[in-house]
Amino acid sequence: MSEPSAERGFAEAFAATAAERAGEPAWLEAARKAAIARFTELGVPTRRHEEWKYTNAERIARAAWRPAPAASLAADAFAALGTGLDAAPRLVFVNGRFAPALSRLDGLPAGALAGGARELFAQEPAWLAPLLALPDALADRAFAALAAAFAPEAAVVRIGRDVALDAPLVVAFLAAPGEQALAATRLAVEVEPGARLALVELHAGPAGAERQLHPTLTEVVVGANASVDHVRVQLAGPGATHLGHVCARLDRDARYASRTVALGAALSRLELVATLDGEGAEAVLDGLYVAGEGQHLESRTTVDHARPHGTSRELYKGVLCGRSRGIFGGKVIVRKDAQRTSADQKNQNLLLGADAEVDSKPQLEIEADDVRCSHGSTIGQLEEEALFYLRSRGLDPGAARALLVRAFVGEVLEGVGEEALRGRLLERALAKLAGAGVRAEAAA
Amino acid sequence: MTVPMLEIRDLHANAGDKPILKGLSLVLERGEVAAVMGPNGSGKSTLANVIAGKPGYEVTSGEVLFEGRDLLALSPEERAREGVFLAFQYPVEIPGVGNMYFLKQAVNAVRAHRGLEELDAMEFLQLAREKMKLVEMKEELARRGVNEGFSGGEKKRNEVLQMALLEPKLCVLDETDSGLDIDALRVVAGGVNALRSPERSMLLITHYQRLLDYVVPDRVHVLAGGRIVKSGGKELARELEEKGYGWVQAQAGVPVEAR
Repeated sequence: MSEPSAERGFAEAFAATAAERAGEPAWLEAARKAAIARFTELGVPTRRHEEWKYTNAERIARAAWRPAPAASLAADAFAALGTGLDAAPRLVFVNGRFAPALSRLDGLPAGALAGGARELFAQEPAWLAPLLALPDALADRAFAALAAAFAPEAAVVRIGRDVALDAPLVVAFLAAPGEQALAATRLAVEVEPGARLALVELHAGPAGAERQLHPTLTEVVVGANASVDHVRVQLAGPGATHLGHVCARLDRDARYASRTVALGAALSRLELVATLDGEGAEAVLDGLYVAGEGQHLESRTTVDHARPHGTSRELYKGVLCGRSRGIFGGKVIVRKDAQRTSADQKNQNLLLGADAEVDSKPQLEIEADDVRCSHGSTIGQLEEEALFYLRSRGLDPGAARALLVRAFVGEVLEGVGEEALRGRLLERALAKLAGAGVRAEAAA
Repeated sequence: MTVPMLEIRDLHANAGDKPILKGLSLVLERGEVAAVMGPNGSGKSTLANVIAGKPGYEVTSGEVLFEGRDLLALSPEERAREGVFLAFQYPVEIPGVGNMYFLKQAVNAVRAHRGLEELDAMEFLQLAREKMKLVEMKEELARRGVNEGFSGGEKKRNEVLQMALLEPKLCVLDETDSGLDIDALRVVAGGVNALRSPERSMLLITHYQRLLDYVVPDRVHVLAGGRIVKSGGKELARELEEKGYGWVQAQAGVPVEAR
């Protein structure tokens, strides 16, 4: 074979970023090299991988991606996203690099630290290196390793013991224009025991339809008795391939609530792993994917109950219109030690397009015997009876459909604590369905 | 002579593939309250659904005129805006769609059609509160999803509340008395009576005489085998209650179907 393998292509691209990595500490360089080695070792998943049955990774990896260079965006780039969160403290990253000019960090309480990893290299706190290693929970995900190798600079958030940050902290990763750009991002969050964090992770851009690859890696460490509300919004540009990874590790009596919303990208695949690693931990994993014409949106979640008395509740909902594809894979693992676990998982899909397609696969692996687990998935259309009821009261079909879709997605979005963001997300979701006879303005 | 509120001429209609209405004719004058009574399977609900325009019901021949105009040419929402209201036998539950939010949209859709200004949130709330008293509906129900977790009686009250808010010209009440205990029946009937007016006509579709003790009709029509086989005054309802439907069906030559 004369053609270079995809793995070699990425390894060469990685070598080409050496100059930018020059100022990094030796341990980080070692971690990056370990990550690219891990990627090469794992290789690009093929269709024979059960988890990659529906998304063609080989086709993604085959293209010639070029690491996205440092770039700057207009001063109003964040406001232009229309998140309703302009007043919240935020870290903005452009092409994976901290952009202080677009960020605002006033209003953070003492004991809360947020910024780009580079600012920390001088002091090198002891907790930094472990936080920037490839997390064990994602060690067998090739594209998570790729993100760890390539992400130019990690966003770091650390909430000290018993500190509460209830107004959301926004971490926005914006991709600048650039054909064939490989824009990897990294977010590392540690919430110390007894602390509280509301976090909004946002992925957006580029504004145009150029092809880009966005491998992302987020790790959230939730200390004993700590609580994290994590909203993750994917609004990538229409030509982007978004390969997202999130892992959360929950210590004793910790609570982690994740709401993922996937609206953007041509192809998006999210892998989320929550490990309940302490007794009595509680995880809520809710997700919404709304696919417009031609989109391919996949969500894969793993809830790993490793200790007793854990609770997990999961609800993923999809709305699919036009010729789009939705995939949900949800795995619940209950380890032998995790007695008295309670785990619920639901996936519900609404098909609004005759050519839309959904694959839903729940999976339970239960090794403990004293547990309560349930799962279920549904795929359906808007209920004719309900539509007629609304029409019989004078609502036109578009408004009636909008009301029903709004109710369907509302169950997930109501978990988004920030009202302004929730409203914007609802608007965006409904606007995507205009082609499916849903009147967006009825949402207001 | 004034144009009737509703005139049905030789109506034939299928529910799915099954012929149900077989030559039904009926006239309802402006301001008139008429009961349509009949045994199970006689076509009562099909009549209600055809008037409201429910998908799945096909009119094969005949006419339905609403104030002299072709009702069947209108979509369900157009019928509602023109002033046709169906109180459902089994109102659907729509979790996640707020009852008040839905009612406000409905009221404003109808108002816009009538050339009236839309009500804002405060104005609507005030109106809704006033009408809720009419059916003794708890405020808490207004905050839930449409019919979400409502009891049978609460659902029927919600139907009459909608009727009061939308101010229709023609009300079709499909088995509104079914599933109601006597107290709920009294409240619902009180709400219906309060809405009686010389400008509003009502078609009470029912199996039982019970509702008619509270909402006294001007006329009673007996529906059997898909057509009206007998019409009379309010005393006809009592006669049906005492003797059952068999004698009317026999008189009209309609075979009594076992169901």
